Amino acid sequence: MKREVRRPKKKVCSFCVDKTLIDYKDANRLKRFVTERGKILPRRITGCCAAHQRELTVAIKRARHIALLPYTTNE
Amino acid sequence: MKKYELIFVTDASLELEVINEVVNKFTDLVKNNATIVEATNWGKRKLAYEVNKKWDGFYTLIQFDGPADFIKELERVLRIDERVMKFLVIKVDEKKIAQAEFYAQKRREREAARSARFAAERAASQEAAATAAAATATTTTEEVKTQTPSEPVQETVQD
Repeated sequence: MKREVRRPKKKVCSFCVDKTLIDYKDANRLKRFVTERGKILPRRITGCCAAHQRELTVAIKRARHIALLPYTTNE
Repeated sequence: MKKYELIFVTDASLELEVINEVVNKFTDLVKNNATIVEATNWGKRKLAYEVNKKWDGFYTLIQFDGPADFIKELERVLRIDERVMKFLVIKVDEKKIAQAEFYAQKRREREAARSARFAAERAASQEAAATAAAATATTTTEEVKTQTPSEPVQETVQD
């Protein structure tokens, strides 16, 4: 019996498409890449390419440092 | 000389004058040791988390070109001042900004071209409509006369 393998649709890195800068000052944009608790979403969810995911994590960490994004939330 | 970016958060619970004093102190410090490219006040903003039991901060962003050894001194002074809740000095990646700007420019050009084409098309269609309307305007008076008697005929067909 052949088992059906469901492959998720291949995602394209949104930063590669837009070719925009990943800016740590733009907290609203970065918010899309963290969970409700403030954790950074993994690459398999964000669909970013490796280079942009790396840049993204740096940007999120910088934003956290100056209190634009939360480290965690207690709700 | 390298491009840097300083962002610092002043305690927003202080008097406005004190905040201004702090902001001026650091803008002057940067001005005296480097060349400011742009300085912007974001104003009072809510913090993402509590800092020193406070939830509000006054954000200031200063972009400047300066020597590398000035950064150490700047950070030292920022650390001493208790009215500054948070600060961050980063080296700006000029290559990436230039690249992003290049693509943004390209996109803008593309969009401008597209909207221009749209406008041209719309103008053309409007013109066509206007000429058509002008053409029909002369004929409508005749049409109205001819249409009115035809209506009852249609009704009888439906019955």
